[in-house]
Amino acid sequence: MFLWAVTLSAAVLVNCTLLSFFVEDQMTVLVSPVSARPDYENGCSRVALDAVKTGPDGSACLYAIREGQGLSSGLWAEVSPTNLLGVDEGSALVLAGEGQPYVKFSSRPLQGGERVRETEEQDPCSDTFLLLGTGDLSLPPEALTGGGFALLPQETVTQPFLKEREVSQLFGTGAQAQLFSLREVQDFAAALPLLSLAGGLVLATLFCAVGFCQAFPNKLRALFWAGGCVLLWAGLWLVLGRIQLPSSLLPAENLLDFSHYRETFSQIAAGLKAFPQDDTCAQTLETLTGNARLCLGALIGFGVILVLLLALSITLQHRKPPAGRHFSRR
Amino acid sequence: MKKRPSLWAVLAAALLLLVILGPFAHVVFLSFVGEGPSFSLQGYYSVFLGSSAYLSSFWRTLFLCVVMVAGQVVLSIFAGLGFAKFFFPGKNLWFFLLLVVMVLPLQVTLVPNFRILGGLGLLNTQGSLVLPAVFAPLGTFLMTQCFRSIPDEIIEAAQLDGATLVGVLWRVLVPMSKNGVASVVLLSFLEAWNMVEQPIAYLKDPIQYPLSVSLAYVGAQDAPAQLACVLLTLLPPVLLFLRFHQELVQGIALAEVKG
Repeated sequence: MFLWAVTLSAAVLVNCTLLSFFVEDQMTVLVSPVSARPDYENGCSRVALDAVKTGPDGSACLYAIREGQGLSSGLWAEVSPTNLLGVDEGSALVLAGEGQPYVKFSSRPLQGGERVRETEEQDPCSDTFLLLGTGDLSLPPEALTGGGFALLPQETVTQPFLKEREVSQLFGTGAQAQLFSLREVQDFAAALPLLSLAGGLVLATLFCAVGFCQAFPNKLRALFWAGGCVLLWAGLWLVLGRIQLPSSLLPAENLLDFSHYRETFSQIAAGLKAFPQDDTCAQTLETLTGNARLCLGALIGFGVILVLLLALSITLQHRKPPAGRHFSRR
Repeated sequence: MKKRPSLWAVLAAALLLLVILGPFAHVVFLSFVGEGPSFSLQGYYSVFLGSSAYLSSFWRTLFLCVVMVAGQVVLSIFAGLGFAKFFFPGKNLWFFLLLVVMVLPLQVTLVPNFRILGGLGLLNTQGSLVLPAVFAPLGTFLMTQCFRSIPDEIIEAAQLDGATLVGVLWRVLVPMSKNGVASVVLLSFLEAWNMVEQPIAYLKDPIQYPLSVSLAYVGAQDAPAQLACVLLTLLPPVLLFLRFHQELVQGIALAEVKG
């Protein structure tokens, strides 16, 4: 009993450790920082107007980037309530700490207490944006509309994609829009098979842990299962290192919030279906649906296979004849 | 015929159980309560998947404890053999001093240790936690008592068969003192796993703190995560105790100072 408890606990904890590095990296919000400058004339600070957000209680706030300590080490965005004293030449006049960095743009809407990472601008590339619900927004002339959605082809988009920056540039500061980058949707779809492989490797390590416990009195067989487990963990680490999920498509608090994915991707799919004549939309939709089915099918299939193998090994174990002399009386 | 337990004994036992298990049950219950309040696994997600800091700290602390326990067991066995089976000048005085140091509160030795570790250049390193723990006196005391209970004739017989001193130790004394060794392992692990004062005194960098101290940095605003982290912290001692609790009781019983 002790061996089973320790082995299974250790296997689960090692899997969680590897996955936690991956989840932490994926859930880190990419931000473009800006610092407040003192405005001695007006007796306050100046900060880019885009940095002033609406807080959870509806009032104006800034998201301060702070360094955590101990278990909370790293950069965190904390809600810093502020009074918007005025707007002057594209800058907001606020009461803020001098030199304190604040979030100007983020890859997805921020919530207080989220881990952040400052981005560096990379080479721009072309992209197509999908806008869900045009509403009162004034669309550029090259935009295609249909079924309440809009398609906005862009020649150059600064990388990495920061949703707030693109919304601000397209529709002005403070505009609210549900904007998605089709390049990011394609990247997400391309990552799905690797995600299913990672899930399969996690299940396989648990299977090896059970095999180790069953084989334990036989040291050679136990070593075989343990070695298999270690190799699978190494494979899992390599696979997770190759996966990069687009930050703009991820949920706010919990990477495993499947309701968020269901809602977001059903909206994206509806938007893509509204433009069947567009090659990018058609290709993106095909990749997304195809890879999603492949991912789900692979995970379920692998799980079923492992459960059957486990049942078979337990059955064979119970059927083994008891050790001892086997001779019949003559 | 079995004696029926009295009602008062049953009530007292139930009350004691409630007092001991009540806080634990409360922690488990609250770790599943999210905003609302409603059932939520967000705390467990934060600790086991959402952030690598907790599990990294867990594994680092576990490694540190294994090193401390291994060091203390090896030193205790050799020191215990010396005190139990050999004669050297001042043996009784040294053993008495060992007992004195053993019963001294930790806070008394904190400052002298700080000065010694500063002189050795070990402050703000993990070595400042390992070195004092490896030379802790409790293990030596337990092993001395275990080895004293083994008759000298057994050792003489092994030596007559050609065993060296190390051979006698490894093949005769240690197997016969399994309970004592298990007690040393369990008690030294618990002491290492639960240490709080030494990391705060000897380490400057919060990132180096073991899990027992890092828990305080989780923050009361994320109570479910803090409580899930508490349960994570409980796991190794509980598993170890489940395995070695019988040996612990027998080992401590053997270690009674006989008049």
